[in-house]
Amino acid sequence: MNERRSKLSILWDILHTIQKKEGKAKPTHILYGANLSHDRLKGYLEKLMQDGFIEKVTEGRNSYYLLTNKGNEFLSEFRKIQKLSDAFGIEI
Amino acid sequence: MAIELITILSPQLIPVWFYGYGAVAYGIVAAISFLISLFSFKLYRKSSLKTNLVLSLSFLSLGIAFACLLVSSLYTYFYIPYFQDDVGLGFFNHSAFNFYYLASLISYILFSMMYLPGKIKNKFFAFYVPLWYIDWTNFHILSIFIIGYVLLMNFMNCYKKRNFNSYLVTFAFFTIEIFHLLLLFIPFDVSLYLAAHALLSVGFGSLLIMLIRVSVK
Repeated sequence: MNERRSKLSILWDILHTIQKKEGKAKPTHILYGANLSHDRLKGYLEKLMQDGFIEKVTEGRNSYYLLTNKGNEFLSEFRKIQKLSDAFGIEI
Repeated sequence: MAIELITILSPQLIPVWFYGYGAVAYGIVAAISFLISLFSFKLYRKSSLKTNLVLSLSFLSLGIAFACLLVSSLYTYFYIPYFQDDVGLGFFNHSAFNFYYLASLISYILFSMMYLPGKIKNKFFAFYVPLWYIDWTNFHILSIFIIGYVLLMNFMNCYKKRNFNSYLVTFAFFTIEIFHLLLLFIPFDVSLYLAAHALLSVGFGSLLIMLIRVSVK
């Protein structure tokens, strides 16, 4: 089995980290939660914002990423994909 | 070939109600296969993952295969009591079984492709086509060989993941394997036809449970 994470799995890790923080997470939390370098995380966050899965908000000196309804739906669908893949033992 | 031999050449060997019984089993298997195919295709449209597409196509092909057997069994069930001449019946069933062989093998090949390593996967034609031509007449033996590989990979998955859904899928492939094995021995004991179809229905029932568990949020 290939242990390298797919792009889809990385996107899941990012969104799941935000969801675990009740839908609102700081970039540093996402960085640790998704286990990514700063540069790679930046690229993925921009992609997720472009696709409407997350939104960036600034409160004082801190910036946060919020999970949108579309992001929540993606997580729900991804769980199904993951369950199906686990059941059949196929890689995502 | 065993099931085809009995169905086409000697329909009088087995009671007519066997065909009705077989039709019910084929209907269950085809319906569940189409459901999994549809579910997997919906996931593919959202994720663009090739594995979801291959899974969808393999179950679609399997559903078509068993739908062919369903039509054939229903035709035999309703035809035999009214007609003694089995020329038309033989031709119809022969065509249905040929479609079944083709669709079923395509499905099994697609299943095995999901588990083959990348380098071999791209050259799978070189691996399967000679087997196809050599063993076309021994459809069940070839099926046992291919599904045996899929079953082995699912056993390994069960050992690794240890989740209930993986046990359900492995059980389903196990029943497909036993189904083909039992059909090989029908000429020795016709009652194996009943056991094979009952087992297959139970196996696909386990796939339906898996599907419900996966689709529930």
